[in-house]
Amino acid sequence: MVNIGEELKAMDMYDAYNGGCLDFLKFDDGSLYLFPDGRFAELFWYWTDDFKELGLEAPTTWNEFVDCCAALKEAGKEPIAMAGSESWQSLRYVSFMPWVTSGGEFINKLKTGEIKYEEDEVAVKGTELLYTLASNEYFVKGYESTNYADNINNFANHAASISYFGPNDLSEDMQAKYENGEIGFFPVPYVDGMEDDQMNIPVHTGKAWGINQESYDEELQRFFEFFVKHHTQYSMARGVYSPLDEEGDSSNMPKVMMDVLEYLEKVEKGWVSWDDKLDPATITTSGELGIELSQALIDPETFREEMDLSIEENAAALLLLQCIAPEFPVGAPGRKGTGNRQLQKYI
Amino acid sequence: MKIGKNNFKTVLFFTAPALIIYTLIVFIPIIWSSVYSLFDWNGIGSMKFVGFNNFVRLFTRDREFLPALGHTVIYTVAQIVLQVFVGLLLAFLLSSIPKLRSFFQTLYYVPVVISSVAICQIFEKLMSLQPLGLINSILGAINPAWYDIKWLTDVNLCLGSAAFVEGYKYMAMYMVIFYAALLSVPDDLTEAAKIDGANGFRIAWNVKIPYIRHVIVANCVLVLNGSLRAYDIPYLLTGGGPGNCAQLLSPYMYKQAFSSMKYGYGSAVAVMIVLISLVFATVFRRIFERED
Repeated sequence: MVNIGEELKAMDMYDAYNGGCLDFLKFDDGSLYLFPDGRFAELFWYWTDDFKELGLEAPTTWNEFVDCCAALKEAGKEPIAMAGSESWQSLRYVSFMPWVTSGGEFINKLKTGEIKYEEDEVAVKGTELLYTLASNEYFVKGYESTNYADNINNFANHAASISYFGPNDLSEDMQAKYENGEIGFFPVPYVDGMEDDQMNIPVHTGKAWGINQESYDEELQRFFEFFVKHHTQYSMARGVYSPLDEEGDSSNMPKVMMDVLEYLEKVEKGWVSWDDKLDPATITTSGELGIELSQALIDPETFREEMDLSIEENAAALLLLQCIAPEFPVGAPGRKGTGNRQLQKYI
Repeated sequence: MKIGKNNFKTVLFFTAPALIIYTLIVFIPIIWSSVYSLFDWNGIGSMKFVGFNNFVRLFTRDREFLPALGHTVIYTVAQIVLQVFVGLLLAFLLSSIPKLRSFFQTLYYVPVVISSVAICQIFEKLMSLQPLGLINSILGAINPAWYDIKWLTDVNLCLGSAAFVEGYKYMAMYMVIFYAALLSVPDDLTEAAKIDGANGFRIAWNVKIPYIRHVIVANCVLVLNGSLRAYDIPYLLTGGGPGNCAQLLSPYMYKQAFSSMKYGYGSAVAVMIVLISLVFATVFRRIFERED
């Protein structure tokens, strides 16, 4: 595969890309072999009238978030709309806290068995957060079988006060409601006592492109450079964010997208998806456990124990895979000393 | 019966195409899977021979395999009841009505020709809680507590819900087979029973059902084998259910081989599905042949 990072530097365009977008695609050693398709963000959206009615402010910490849910529930409202049938939504709630405090540090250590789940206090709190939300029935009725599209529809129909999804998924009607002040948004809350200046908006690139080194001749190189230099124009024309921090023709962009963009420009830390970091077997297991925890069918301790057990059984396969295919896009410990030592330990 | 040289060529001519296709798409993959099942392989790297370790692990250390087998047996029994016995009941009802038989036959057959994905989408909406689906709307009007029945996500209900949908989809297929079999029952048998004073139920129970017994057994074996390998409807409707409460053997095999990238282990599950299907079908046939 073509080293995209080196190519962008050669074009003098590397620094023009948003740090968060590149961070999302980089391997553990900082190398970049994938090219971002766009810039996508995820936020919490809420109905402002529900909050105003109860005198609530948009939460900035997770304790405030849980308090908001409790107040909404007590007032007879459904606090959170969630796509409970999709495991990644449950895993978001488990991973918010460790991501906010330390980016990918926890998951990168966990995936190789370098630490146990219990050893990271914030990650433990993350599992307890999802269990608290589930066991107190803060998720909207019927969320267990709801998919992502229906989840957004539930929120749009005001079936719940809060939901988590990307600004690209707002319908025109919801965009109008945002402009009228009926809908607002807030970033991922901080862990209590660990607030800082970082902007906590999960940013990712949607799809990403790889280029085959063998096909990368002079003509393709010229095309790639042309595309990179017109990427913002291409993105704005599609009504999505450009992965570059540069201004473009925003006439196609609705107000809400422009407002969110102001926040995105402060984002330097890419989102870390757990569903592509772990070994394949643990990805499957974590998804199932996430769904069970989101329905309070298991307790947080069981979630953590089962995760550790799965990593213990399967992490060796991940490390072997990375040694066989060093560019395997789940990080690259196999190319570094630590990974090789881990591998020898497992063998 | 002795087969002469010319007859043998004729037999070979007619059986060879099916035999070749069967060998290519069924027999060879089974042998292939059996070989893979003896290896630890992630699908990319080198294969490590582990003997029967995958099978030992299935029965000793795997916490999902035996529950999945249990669910599959329950699911299979439900399918035999719904597809064979309800199908048989519908065939009797259909054969007893004097008019509009073709209309009802076509009407009942519609779910068979609708794709599984479409059927699952329909039932997802019918059984939905948010927005409220038709089934809970009707049940809730009878008893408000029934508004909140989680058909597809309650650990105690989702396997039954998936079994019902699969049974609903395929019962008409067996109804049609039974209907054709019932039409083949000679009139003189039923007439004789009538002269002896038998009512409709007695004729059905003592004349028609024994006459089409071999069709019932054949259909049971077909449903048995189909249900032991059931995949699409339970997977699309429940995805295995929370806590794998509706996990069946085939989706479990898929999960191990293609999601967890344990091709060797997934192959071991596939081999077990073949063996279990063979054992169930053989035992079933033996029981009924002995009774004959």
